[in-house]
Amino acid sequence: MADAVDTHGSDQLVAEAQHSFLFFSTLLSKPVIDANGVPVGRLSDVAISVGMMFPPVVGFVVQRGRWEPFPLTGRWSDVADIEGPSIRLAVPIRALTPSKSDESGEILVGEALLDKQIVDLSGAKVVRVNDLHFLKLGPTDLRLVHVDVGTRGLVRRMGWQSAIDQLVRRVAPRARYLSAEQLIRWQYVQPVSLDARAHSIRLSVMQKQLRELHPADIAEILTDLDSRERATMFRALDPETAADALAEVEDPRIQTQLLETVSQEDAADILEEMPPDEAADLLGELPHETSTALLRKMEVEEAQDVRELLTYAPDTAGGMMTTEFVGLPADLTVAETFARLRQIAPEVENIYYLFVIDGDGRLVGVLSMRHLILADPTQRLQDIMIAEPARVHHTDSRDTVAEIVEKYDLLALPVVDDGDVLVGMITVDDVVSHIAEQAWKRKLGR
Amino acid sequence: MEAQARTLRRLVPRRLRGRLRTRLQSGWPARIALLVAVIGPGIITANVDNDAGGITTYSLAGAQFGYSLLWCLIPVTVALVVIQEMCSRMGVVTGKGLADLIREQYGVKVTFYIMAALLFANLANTVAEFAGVAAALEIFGVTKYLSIPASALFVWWLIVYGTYRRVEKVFLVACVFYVAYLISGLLARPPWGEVLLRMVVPEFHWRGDYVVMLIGVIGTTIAPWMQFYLQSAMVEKGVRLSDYRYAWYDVVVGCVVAVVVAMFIMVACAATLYQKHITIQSAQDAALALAPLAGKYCAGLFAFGLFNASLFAASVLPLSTAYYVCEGFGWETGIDKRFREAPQFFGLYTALIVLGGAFILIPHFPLLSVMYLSQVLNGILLPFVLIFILLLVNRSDLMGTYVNTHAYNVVAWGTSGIMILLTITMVVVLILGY
Repeated sequence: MADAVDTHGSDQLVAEAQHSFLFFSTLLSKPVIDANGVPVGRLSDVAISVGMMFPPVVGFVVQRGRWEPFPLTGRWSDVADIEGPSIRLAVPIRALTPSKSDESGEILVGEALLDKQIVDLSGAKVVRVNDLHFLKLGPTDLRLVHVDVGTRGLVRRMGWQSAIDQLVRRVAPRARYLSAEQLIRWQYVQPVSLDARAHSIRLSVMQKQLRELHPADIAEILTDLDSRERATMFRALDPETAADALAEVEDPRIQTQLLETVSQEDAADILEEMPPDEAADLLGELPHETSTALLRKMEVEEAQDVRELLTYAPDTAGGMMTTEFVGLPADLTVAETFARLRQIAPEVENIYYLFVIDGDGRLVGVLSMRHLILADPTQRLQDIMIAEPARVHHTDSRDTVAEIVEKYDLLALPVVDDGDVLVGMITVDDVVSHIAEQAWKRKLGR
Repeated sequence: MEAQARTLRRLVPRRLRGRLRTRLQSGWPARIALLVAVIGPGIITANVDNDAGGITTYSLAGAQFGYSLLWCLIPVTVALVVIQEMCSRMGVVTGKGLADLIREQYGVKVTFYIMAALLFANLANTVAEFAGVAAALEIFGVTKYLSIPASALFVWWLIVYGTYRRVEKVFLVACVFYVAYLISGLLARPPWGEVLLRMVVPEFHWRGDYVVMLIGVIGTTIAPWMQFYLQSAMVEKGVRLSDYRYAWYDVVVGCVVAVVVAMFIMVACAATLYQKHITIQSAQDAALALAPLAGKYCAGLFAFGLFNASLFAASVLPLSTAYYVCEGFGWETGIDKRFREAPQFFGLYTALIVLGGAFILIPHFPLLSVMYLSQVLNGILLPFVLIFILLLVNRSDLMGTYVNTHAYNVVAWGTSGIMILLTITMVVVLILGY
């Protein structure tokens, strides 16, 4: 078994130790005999303790009886030998418990991992587990180090490994099949089909790694998962990560489905974290009662922004815009502007385009971060801004918006109401998605 | 740092963001909207069900055995509804496809053998679909050496370049063709009293060809691959448990439509071909069943219907097979992926189409027999798939309170039992050489 190669680079424990490896499939279904040589049954599962970096095997389940098998559970410390043709216990058969182990902090790997989907956090994708890879530290001391998701794992499970390996060696000795095991280190494995209790133990470790993934990657993982697992994983995210990931999910059906899997309080928290325009889009997809209930649970200020956006028709500039923008008075100096931006930047998402407004909130000019950086700190905004910039009315159509953004090469477009008062802005990504959507529609004929 | 990440996200354009707004309030318009939204998988499945193999098998059944197989349609309808309902319920409750569930609950070995058997049966079915295309276009005088490569390429292109959705509607509309059988069946003036009587009174003949035909009829109506397809379609549609009632209507309507079409094909063939003692040797003969309606144009009408049905199924079958085989083994799937990202998926899909077409190109390939025998293969495989459906749907750890009721289990296990008995009978009868 020592021929396994870790394709994920150096692994402290693995690299230093001169120990051998063991695949779960070689243990599975092995006959088990007790201390007196009495046949017990066949090994059907092992339990690992999930608290540690390399979880040790701590328990096992044996199926006894051929026609109506029932499970017997024991502790792994009572196992004397796993090398021989059968697994030998150090205790008599009556020391085993006639049920399936359900200790807290432990998971049964066969039940929770083998053949199930997991999230590979290193590759940010959903894969299926074909086998489990244990490091053998002592005669019976096993630590889970990898899960196997490769074709060779499938072949091994079929019991054909030696035959297929020989065949491949003869036909194509340099085939990738022989050299590269597709093993994923346990630290990067996020199980998704665990029950809530076992899951919470594993979660603290995972949350940190999940947060390091790009929200678009999390969104893709969520989309690839089955609905139940999708819900499990979504619930595991903190509100901020959840909000970012939710905004990246492309299918509105999946978006609403995800939001419905968490409690209304949590859903409200997630919506608060989202940019108001995204939150409004999402709320617009929900049944009316649900969206009003959620709005009521949100913080007053955020809810107000979203409510305002919801009043605009979805196909208009108003429906596309966000109400998070920076509006500044014309007589502010550049230095004062920087100071103010430092204050408000954490709350406002896009500060690369700044709008200059008069006392009544009417749009008078626009300037970019570039203008600001290149200007003298004592200059006033009215001297460096672009006066009378391009703008759209909140009732203008999406196509008009796209046209203007394209014509003037804008990254952000101000949106005004009847009195020319600035009410929001549309960023280029919203326009791009609209254009992309049109292109896709044409392609898919939807 | 955080703000940076957010800005980064902002700058990444979101692809494909559908802004389909279905604000559903209560009241009857909302309910109809919901029904329309949920409807689909069942009705589409039913129409794909009446494919080349289906049309051929029902035609042969009517032509060879007259009205003596009609009785099986009512129990078949019940069984079909029960089985498809179980699959869609499993899809809605677990959110997983059938192949997924089999893999997760029964491991690699079971999955491998089921998938291998299905792959074989579905290859035979794909061959049958292309046989349907070839037979239909031969009526119009197009040689199969031209029609098969062209239609195989068309089907491949349809999916890989994502035009399938649009074409699906064309296929569905063209399914109106089945009305031709309904009218033809009425115009042929069959003895309705006898027809109705023989629909409800079961009869059985201890003849090898009768048993084989019976299995064929059941196998084509309750095709194993349809169950995988339906369950995946339900999952993909994202039907919620609270809307399950509408999905149920969809399934029932689909099943009834499928069997009514089957019945009229059988009646039309019995009233024309069987009456005149014409045995079906080619698609041309089968077309005569439409003569009461279309007269000398019957061949053209039949060819059109067969062509549509075959092409429809040929675009769905290889794709769904590739999907669930890959799901079972945990390989990457999806037509929006590149070949290098999902080699097994595209490999399987392409191989099914290429092989399916290649068989037809063998000179003197018996088109009609293949269409029929592939359905018998379906019938033999069905009990095995059914057993897994039943085992899974009764698992309370998967289905919670949505496991089968006792009455349901009686019907479902009964169907599987009868199919197993029939399969054994067929093998025995064939070996004894009746």
